[in-house]
Amino acid sequence: MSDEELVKRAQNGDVQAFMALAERYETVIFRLAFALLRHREDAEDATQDIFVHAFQRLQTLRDAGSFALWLRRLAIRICLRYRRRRITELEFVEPLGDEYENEILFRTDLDPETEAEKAELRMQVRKAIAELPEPFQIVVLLYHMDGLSYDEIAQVLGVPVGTVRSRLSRARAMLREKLAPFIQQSGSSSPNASFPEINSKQVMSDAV
Amino acid sequence: MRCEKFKSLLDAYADGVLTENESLMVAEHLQHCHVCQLRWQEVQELNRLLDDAFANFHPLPSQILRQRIKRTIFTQRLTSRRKVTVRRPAAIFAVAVVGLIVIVASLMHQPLLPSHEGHREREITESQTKIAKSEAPPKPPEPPGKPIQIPKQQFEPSTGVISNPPTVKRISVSLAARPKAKRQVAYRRAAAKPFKDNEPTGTEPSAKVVSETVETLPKAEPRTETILISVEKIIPTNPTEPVPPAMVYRVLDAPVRREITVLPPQGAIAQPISIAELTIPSLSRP
Repeated sequence: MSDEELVKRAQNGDVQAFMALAERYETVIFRLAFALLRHREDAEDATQDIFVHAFQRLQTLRDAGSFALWLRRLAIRICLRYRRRRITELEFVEPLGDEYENEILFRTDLDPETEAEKAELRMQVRKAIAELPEPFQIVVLLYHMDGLSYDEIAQVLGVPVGTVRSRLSRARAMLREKLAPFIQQSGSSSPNASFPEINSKQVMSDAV
Repeated sequence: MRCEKFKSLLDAYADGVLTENESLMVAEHLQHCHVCQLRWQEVQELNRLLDDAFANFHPLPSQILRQRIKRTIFTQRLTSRRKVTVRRPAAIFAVAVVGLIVIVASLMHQPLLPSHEGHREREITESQTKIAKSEAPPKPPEPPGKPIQIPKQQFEPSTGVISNPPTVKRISVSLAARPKAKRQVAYRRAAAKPFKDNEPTGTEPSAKVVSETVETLPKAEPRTETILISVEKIIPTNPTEPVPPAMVYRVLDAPVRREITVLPPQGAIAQPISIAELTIPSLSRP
């Protein structure tokens, strides 16, 4: 059953339909909450609040087809409220997921050392994203983690598409700076770039 | 300078959100600008890192989260007149246990009929009497009202038990906002003496509640609190006697002690057992 149909049923008081929606989006919303809060219990509490609020305010959702975006909008608002509330407790934040990389390390078909390095790199990238200022962090998460388009992100955040584009561009500029060592390492080891490798020193001297 | 312009477009170019003309311009520029080619590689590499960073990032919530959501939503529907946000099941339990002390007590016979007026005043404590008098000055005698009869089909003469299904009575009490730690409120049925099953009838109370539970829900709005009182069973000592629906509750809220008289809404007098929704208008703190 489509989101739209379930939302309409839920708007007519069908709690089971809403629970079906909750089941569908529980992990997505929890992941977003966890990425924003970096604290498992907070993320679970926030996820619960998000769905309870969604249930309360479901009547205000006019376009039933945009439930997923509307839910994310609610999620961001509630998660930011959680973050502001616990501003003095930031030392308890989790490192964003090394526990989730463990499964890979136990696979026998992969080289543990290489995979450990990759897992470490992924964690560093997530950490760098988590350290971005709030608006930039959110656009990066919505684009790269949730896979939303510029239009969808604009709808979630209630901003023009141009703002999404500029925020994403600035966020990446900041990340390029933070992750410069990793980009150089991985860039030098990946021959799959779209353009042939060129001598960077030569290029820079050409540019000067 | 020209490169700076293209540099700002590379992210959007990678995301495929440029116009056709802009895309063509960037593609053409990349063909012959080695500096921008290097930047383009960086853009691609960063995007790959960012996408890859979340490829294995699938934290799962605990298995009880969905149950928590479901329970909260159903609780809300039960108390749909108020907005309630319950954070954890433990919180419900803690508030229910710590927030309220439930005391099983006898049903206060508080006759609404004038013929029971004297008895009522004997039963109510002194402070209750004060409140009752201040709120409701003595009325001139009225002709006796219609006696209330317990529905026979629900009354078991052999046991003296009315086999009513559990009745949930909802009482809304307005309480002033106060620190969470001091939100412990106890509600006690105000009948001073417990009634015995074999107690002679007449002017004595004709029924009593043998069991009731009180549950409080977390405060939803700054000045309100919802209490659900479930009356499980009512035993009349004399089924022919009317069972007055009015009851007195005593709120033990240190340091203030206060009594509330819960009166049924108009028209509820004919159905004394199936307790309707009662509302205490206000209970403002001094």
